[in-house]
Amino acid sequence: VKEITGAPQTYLLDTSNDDVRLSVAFGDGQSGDSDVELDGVLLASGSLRDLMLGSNKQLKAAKSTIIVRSLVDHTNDNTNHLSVVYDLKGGDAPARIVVTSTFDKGPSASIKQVIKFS
Amino acid sequence: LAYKLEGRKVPRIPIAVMLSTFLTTVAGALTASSAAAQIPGPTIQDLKTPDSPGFVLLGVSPSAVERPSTPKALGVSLLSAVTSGDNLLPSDYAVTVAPYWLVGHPDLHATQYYDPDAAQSLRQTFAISFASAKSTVKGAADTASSTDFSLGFRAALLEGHGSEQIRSLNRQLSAYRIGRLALIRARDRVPDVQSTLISSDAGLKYLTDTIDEEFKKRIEADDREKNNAQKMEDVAAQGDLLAQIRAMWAAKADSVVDVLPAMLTALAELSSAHPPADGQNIDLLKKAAAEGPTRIAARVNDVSTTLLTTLESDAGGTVTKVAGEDHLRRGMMLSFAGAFASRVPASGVGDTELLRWGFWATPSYRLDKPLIDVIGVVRYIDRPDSIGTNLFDFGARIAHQVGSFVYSGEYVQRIEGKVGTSHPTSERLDVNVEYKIGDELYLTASFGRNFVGEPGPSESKGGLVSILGVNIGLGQKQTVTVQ
Repeated sequence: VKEITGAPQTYLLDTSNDDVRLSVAFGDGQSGDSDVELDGVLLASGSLRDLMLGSNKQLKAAKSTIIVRSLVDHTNDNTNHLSVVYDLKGGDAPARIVVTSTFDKGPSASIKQVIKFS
Repeated sequence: LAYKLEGRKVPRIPIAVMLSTFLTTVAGALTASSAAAQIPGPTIQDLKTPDSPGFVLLGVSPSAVERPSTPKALGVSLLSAVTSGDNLLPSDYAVTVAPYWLVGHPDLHATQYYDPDAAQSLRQTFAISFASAKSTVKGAADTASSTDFSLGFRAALLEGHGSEQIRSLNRQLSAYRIGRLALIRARDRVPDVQSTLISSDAGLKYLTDTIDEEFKKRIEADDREKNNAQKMEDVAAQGDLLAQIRAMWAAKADSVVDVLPAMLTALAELSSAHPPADGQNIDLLKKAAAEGPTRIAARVNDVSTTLLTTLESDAGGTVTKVAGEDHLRRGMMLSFAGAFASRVPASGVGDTELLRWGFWATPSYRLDKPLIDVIGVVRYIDRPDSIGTNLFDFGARIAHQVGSFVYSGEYVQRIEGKVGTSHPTSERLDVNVEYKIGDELYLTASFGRNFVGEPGPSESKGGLVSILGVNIGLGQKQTVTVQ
């Protein structure tokens, strides 16, 4: 299994009580699942869509960090490409993080992405 | 231990809930592994004939009616026509490139890929192919010493949809992934857990204290309810659970590998939630804390890695099944293809002549079960006057796939002639068999009667089609990487 670590990212928050949400999607027609840990506590595992992480105020006060682990399977063998798309919204502005790679060590790839809140 | 923990009704205990949750996750992953290993039926793979549009136009394809398929980023086809050659060495070659798959598409989700709209279908199926074949069809130059080349394309406006089995397999894969993610989390926490154990000999004390505290609430509730039977059961459960945990820690890592990942994960979560405090020491736990952390952490890592390897192996087989099933889209499909062909005679490239060009549509429908294709074709082929009249083909093919074997029959009617001229007709009637003999290697053979003027031993009356071919796809084995 190929293990990929995305470059650490920072998501800017405001001071409101608005919810911050995360979606994780997989491109190139491949299949995947993810889990999310917020400050070391597992929040969710599986298909993540609009997952509520907490309010801007909470995340900012705690200087929170999320770790998103994803596994992608090479189910579309017409291409060797894979991509993981992280969409964050609810903070200062929507943000998208895209990690791309290729399958070259077996039929799966593991991707770890760290996102800090500031 | 997992059974006993659950049997003693410990779900009311937070630490046990964490343990149980983790164990359930791991057990679920293992169950998924077991379930996947029991999938009935044959493995359906992406069987296909070497059916480059160039081969079809040059008349050397094993079938005049192509089965629909999604192109790989790069594929190579080799054909050997036993009726026209002295040996089985391939005489005809084709290279197919699907430009869409050469680059990444982060916005293409699996659901969109499996059930594409018309625009997406065109994008993901468009392929360009270049074919070379030993000259066989009628041309101005001598066929014996010439080579024919063809450049063609194919794209599907409708590409059907994924099968029921592919949905089922994808659900299994999702279960595998969730189990594997749990193991990766446990493995990633090994350094934290080790650090916690080393830095705090009271870590395990908190484990037992928490159990005591929770059982105390339980027993108090039993007293209020005057449920002596339940109280006795709870007291026994508390004693058993504490004894088991102490025994495990006393016995060090080797005898507790089955529950350590869960226990250490739970311990780490407890420790982060409740900072350790000085206080009562429990000899057994102190001993384990002093002697065990490094060994225990190593064992957790080993166990997680071993389980991961097992799950990855099982998941890999399912991934292959999904990919194979994906090449057999179900439902209505409609593809278009076109090509032109030229002949390069032995006298040189300067004497190259246009042989023919053509355009055709292939509507088809594939049943989910049994795996039967009903395929039609309407084709127009234009030829220079010096070579012959234009051709109009229409016909159908029915193919049935059973495991790794496909057999089919086809009938295509050909009408020749331009406006104002006579319209002689001829037919192609053949049966075709295909068999997958290895990864990305297919054997195909056709037998029957070909059109007049097409490859075969008796061109004037229509020849016997007899072709052996192999098809080699290069997309699956990670050979194409575009950065």
